[in-house]
Amino acid sequence: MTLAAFQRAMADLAASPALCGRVREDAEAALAGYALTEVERRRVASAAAQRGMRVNCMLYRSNRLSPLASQLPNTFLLLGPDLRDTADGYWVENPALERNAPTEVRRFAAYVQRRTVEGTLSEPLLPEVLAWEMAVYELALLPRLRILAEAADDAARARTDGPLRLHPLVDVAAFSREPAALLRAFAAKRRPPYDDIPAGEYHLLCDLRGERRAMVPIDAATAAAMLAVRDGENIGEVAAGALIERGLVVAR
Amino acid sequence: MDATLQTLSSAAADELATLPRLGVGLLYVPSLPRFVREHVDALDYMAIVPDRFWADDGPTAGPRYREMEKQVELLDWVAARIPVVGHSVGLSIGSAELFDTGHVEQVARWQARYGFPWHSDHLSFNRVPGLDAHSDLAGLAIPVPYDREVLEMIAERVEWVRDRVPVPFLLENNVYYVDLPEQEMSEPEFLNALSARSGCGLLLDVHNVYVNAVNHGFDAGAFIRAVDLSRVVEVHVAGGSEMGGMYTDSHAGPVAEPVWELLDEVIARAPNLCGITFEFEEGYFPLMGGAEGVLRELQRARQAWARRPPAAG
Repeated sequence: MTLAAFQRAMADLAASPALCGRVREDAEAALAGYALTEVERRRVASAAAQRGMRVNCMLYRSNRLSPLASQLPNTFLLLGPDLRDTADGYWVENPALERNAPTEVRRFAAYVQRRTVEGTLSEPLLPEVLAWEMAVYELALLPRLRILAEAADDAARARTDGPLRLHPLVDVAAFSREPAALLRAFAAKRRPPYDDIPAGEYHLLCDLRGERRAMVPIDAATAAAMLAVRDGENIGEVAAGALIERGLVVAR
Repeated sequence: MDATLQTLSSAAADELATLPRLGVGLLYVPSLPRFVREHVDALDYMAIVPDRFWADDGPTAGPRYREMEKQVELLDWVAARIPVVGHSVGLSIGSAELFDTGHVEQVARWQARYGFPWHSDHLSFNRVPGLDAHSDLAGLAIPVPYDREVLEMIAERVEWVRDRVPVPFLLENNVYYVDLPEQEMSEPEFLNALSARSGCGLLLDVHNVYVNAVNHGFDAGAFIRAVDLSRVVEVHVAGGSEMGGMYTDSHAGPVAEPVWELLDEVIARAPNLCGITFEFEEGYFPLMGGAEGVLRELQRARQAWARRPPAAG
């Protein structure tokens, strides 16, 4: 069915300003891979030459970036001038928008993480901010009411000497800058550097047990205990008791 | 018109004539739960994009659809108070090599659950099988060419949808930034022929008409007069903004002023009109003046609704 080839060509044009340019220069050669009728070939060539195709290309980029930006706004803030190259590289590896939104967010996050490890993205705060936003995103995906109901029983059974796990609706995030000031900078859409914000080892409790999500600073000992529980380690009865009392852990 | 087509058209017209005349609604914006809870009384109905309430893991997954608890909780709250109509984005009815019957079945389940008096989707394609190994999503909705071959393909699919979902099915006219040459029909001709051939109703997005008229230099009023408005059940009104040298359907804040005039033309001549839906992009909520700004647009739509001719019911 040549209609399928026509649709494929139109979708490819919207995804690739470079292909639009090649079609404008030499439609015959650029469209050789598409099994088009003569009318369809003229339509695609005309489309590539119209300013409306530039708008289609912009809409394509916006449609792919907006869902990611809405979930990872501060990661995007930190990407700043690197965003265009990052998006282009990500789309080369992943030409189509993933139908499952969480999968799209996760694979973009994994791509950014990989680029930071490789050193292509050098903003030092990027890994920790991405990790924090992904932790909150994953918690927000969970069916809160059902989990609260299920975890209530596990909370009642939690014992300081028994096997424990983190409450499914909490997580902990590590920061190298004082989080409250950093979040204020993010809220003001202020880009790095953040030299005026105190540096050190900080931790935030990401807590989605309540109606509203809460980001609460916690001390290093509590954070270490939570991370140890998350990793399946034994934390001792005193630390376990403190976490149980705050409802941060439940019976495994 | 041949006898079979005339019978179908007449039955479809009867179907539209008995629909409830709801009034003024809003396209649901999931990140404004407070607005929805505080101002549900300002709405006669809520239009929802059902696809935004579930995660779709694809046809081979089991189960394929997983509901998003928080969003569904608010939807249940809304549906207990006012009617809800479905406005899907996931069918991609114009895709040449794909017709997603699983999506139709899912819409049918939600129609039964929420009692949509009608449901709708778009006259375009946004899925192209084989784009990559994981997905067929094209990343934007692209209008179908207005050719007879396409009309026949879509008409057969509309009949399938109508067979599975027991309420009228509407298709929405497109916004387009690229004007394809050598199409066999104009857009109004295509809409009228498709509606007569398949029995679908029309969701006339008046802002789409306005956007296309601005960008492609035609008379929006003449376009509206060329459409068989007896098939129009719902209209969309919205605002837009400039991008790349064109005026776009970005839903950027209040309804564009010329759209109100066009809406009056539609209202005067659309005997089966059941609802006016205001669409806005949630990012523009603060720029519109928050809740007050939205309520102002709804009030203006309500004034337009009140100008319907007496026979419109």
